[in-house]
Amino acid sequence: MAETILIVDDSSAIRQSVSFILKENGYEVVEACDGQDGLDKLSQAGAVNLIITDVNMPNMDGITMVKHVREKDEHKFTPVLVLTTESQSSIMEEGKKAGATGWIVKPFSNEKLLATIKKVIG
Amino acid sequence: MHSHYDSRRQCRVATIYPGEFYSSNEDLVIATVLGTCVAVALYDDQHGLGGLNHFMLAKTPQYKRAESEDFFTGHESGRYGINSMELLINDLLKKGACKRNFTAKVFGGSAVLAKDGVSKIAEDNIEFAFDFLRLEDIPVIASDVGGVLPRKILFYPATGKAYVKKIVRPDREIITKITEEYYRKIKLEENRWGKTVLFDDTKEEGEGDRGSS
Repeated sequence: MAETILIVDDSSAIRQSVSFILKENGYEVVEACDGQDGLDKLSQAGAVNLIITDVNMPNMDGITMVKHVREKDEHKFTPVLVLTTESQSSIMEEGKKAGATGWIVKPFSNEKLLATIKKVIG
Repeated sequence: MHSHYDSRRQCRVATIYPGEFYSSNEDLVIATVLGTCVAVALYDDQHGLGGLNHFMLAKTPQYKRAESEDFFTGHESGRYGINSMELLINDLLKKGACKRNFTAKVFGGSAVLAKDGVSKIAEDNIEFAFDFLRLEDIPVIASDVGGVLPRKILFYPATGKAYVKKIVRPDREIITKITEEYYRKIKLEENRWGKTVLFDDTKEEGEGDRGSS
């Protein structure tokens, strides 16, 4: 069965771009437009093997969403990759403290994104 | 970005170069000169806050997409443009703007360096800007794109007003030099794309630490 990846980003262009690459490589994709929508979709989607989230989003930012994800027993160990334009170490540290698994700085290359996904979900 | 006080306009002028962006709610001017590149001005009229970027798509000449594909599929041709737009949008949001209030103005994409007056790069840059704004639901309220002459853009971020001046006797040598330098910069940046850190083994892949908006 294909693994399911939840993409959380307020930019339709980025969701479309990431979603295309993942689907081309055999993953099921669920999309959400901000942190709150991400939590809602996570509850509705059933099994999610990986979450990829942006940081700067309206309603709920990515770091806050990661903290809420980690409060859920069923997602305590679900890998979360932060995919963002932010590259300052202080924000990365916040992501790490919130419980993110890894951090990828945009713009991303398809190759590196897919390699990282394989690494974190096995 | 270079900033100076313009005594004629009696305000500060922030000049941006290829690959840069600037935003503000102050009474100043953001200026740039465009050849093949495009610039998108975003404005939030509820907060009197606007910004301008200046970019060109990466990899377009090397990675031609099929007619049926758009810039948001796996070909990476639109990736640099998406990034330029996202940096500007995030900068505006951090300064208090709301995305739903944004309107856009699009400039540039002239075939200034093409001998036959047709430039696929310029056409792609224009198409990308409009496609991106359509996908993001940001209405384009004005545009001045295409043609063969470069443009000087003056954008007032506090009011959203923009002025375009066509440069009728462009120095093609200088424009070629600036464009080639920008291409070189993009190629260097491409090698650093997707800097990755995995926290559990604190292993860092990729190079460099680029600043962010």
